[in-house]
Amino acid sequence: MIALSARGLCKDFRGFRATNLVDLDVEEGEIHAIIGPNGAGKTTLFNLLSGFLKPTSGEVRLYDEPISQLAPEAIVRRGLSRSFQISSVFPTLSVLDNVIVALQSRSALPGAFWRSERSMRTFEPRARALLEEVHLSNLAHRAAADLSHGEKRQLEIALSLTQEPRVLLLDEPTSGMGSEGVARVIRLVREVARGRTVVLVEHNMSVVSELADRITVLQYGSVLATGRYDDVRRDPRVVEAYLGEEVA
Amino acid sequence: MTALPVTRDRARRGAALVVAAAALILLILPHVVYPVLALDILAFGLFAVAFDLMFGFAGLLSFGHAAFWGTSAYTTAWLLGHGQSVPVALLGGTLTALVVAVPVGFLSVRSIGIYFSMITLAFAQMLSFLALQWTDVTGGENGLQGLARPGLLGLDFTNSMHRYYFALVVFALGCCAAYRVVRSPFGKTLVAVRDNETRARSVGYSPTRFKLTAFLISAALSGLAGSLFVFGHGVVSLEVVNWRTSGEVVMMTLLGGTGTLFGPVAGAAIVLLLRDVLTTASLPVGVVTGLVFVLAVLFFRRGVVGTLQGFLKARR
Repeated sequence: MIALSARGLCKDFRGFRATNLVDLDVEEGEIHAIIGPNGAGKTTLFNLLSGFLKPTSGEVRLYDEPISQLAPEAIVRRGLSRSFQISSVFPTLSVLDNVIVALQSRSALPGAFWRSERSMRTFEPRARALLEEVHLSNLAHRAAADLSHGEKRQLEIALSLTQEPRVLLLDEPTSGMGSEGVARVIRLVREVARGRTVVLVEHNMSVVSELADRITVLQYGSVLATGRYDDVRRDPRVVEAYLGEEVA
Repeated sequence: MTALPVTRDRARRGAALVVAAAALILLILPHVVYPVLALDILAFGLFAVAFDLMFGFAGLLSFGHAAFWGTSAYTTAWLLGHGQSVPVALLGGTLTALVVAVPVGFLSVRSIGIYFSMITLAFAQMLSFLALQWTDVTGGENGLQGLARPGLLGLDFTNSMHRYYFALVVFALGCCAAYRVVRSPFGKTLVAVRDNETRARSVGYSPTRFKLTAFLISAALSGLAGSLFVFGHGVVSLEVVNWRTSGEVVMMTLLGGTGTLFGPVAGAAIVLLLRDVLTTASLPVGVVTGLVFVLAVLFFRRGVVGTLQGFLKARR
């Protein structure tokens, strides 16, 4: 079963073609990595898949339902959630409140301007459970703006889990992390991927080799190759794209 | 809500103290300044609080809030002129402001930044023009005078003191409403949407819906404030829909402290008292007030109350 697919996806920015006829099929339950040199259009692709950009042509389907014309918040409600390359959190709220605010979005609570904010506490148990999952429990009351880089990445993942996604897009989850942080994220992604489909953009090849079932290689906005990691890394076009670098 | 218990209790006690002090000041205010001026402080104070719901909490700067203050003012005046009781006139004014805010809000909140400010200004100007032309209802350039304010529950509204204390009750209710809105799941989410709209959308929120709701609440409270203003003076004129009124409420809010909930009341008091003192001393009101505003923006970015709050937090 194909969880997420793109057909002939194109995105033009004033004459510059950022995404060029991208076809993508992500199988349900797999961990699919998208790799490519800088400027290959990975984040643009994520923006197209999650609704933050509208395609110039082509379409995106989530479990065979077209979603390319929907607003990002509508796509989220259909079960596709994403994290951001540069940590995007609610800076003035505490870590716990960040997760609570994210969790309550599906309820009627956010519209209730007449109720006390204490009514948000109903989401506290679930929020704490999520923080437990991403190992942020001891920082629950810290203002999100005061977190370290690695901690913000963890909060990112927690926030993207709040919407109970069937498909999770993770944009460079290990960016800017040292080896210990990377190991932690690898473990986290593996746990989170159980029962879900995960698509991740990654630069770190060891992460890709450890996690990915299949990968897609992008270059200049086009798909260069797609398939199982071991097959793709030996593909001569892919090797050339990385300028002869050992695709480890 | 999720602060450590010790700081939370200290903050609560501090807040209770401040509320008590403010209540005391407001109770004796009409004995310190003219009751009519005191009522103006209440009216503009509530107006500024309502304005700050948009600016400080939703992050949208409206240059046309006089549209709601003024629409309500004229409606209240019309209702009083047609023999309605004061509560009915106040309610009518508030509801009319709310009704006007629906199309204005719907069309405005899709724009951001300066575009939002310009659209709101444009709508206010349209209403200003309407007020000028619709002389049958608004009295045009002459406005409406000598509005009857029938007494209530033994209160005599020809007495400015009675008017003030009645207005104080209404003001308090308005402030309670503003407090509730800010300290609600809605208010908390509104701040999140303001701080990071992208993240808010990616967890399923529709920013437009939040901004519109905030807009409507702000407009309704602005309307209540505007009706208090007319109730206080017994007259209405074109100044209530003038862009200067829209600008004044911005200034009052910034002086008092945006995002502090009740800082704007202090800002309103400062502007109005300053104006009163300067006029009595025959000093140029506009120049001095403007100068104060410039100095505040340069050195007290967070306004009087905001700076005080910051100072107290640092000392803890």
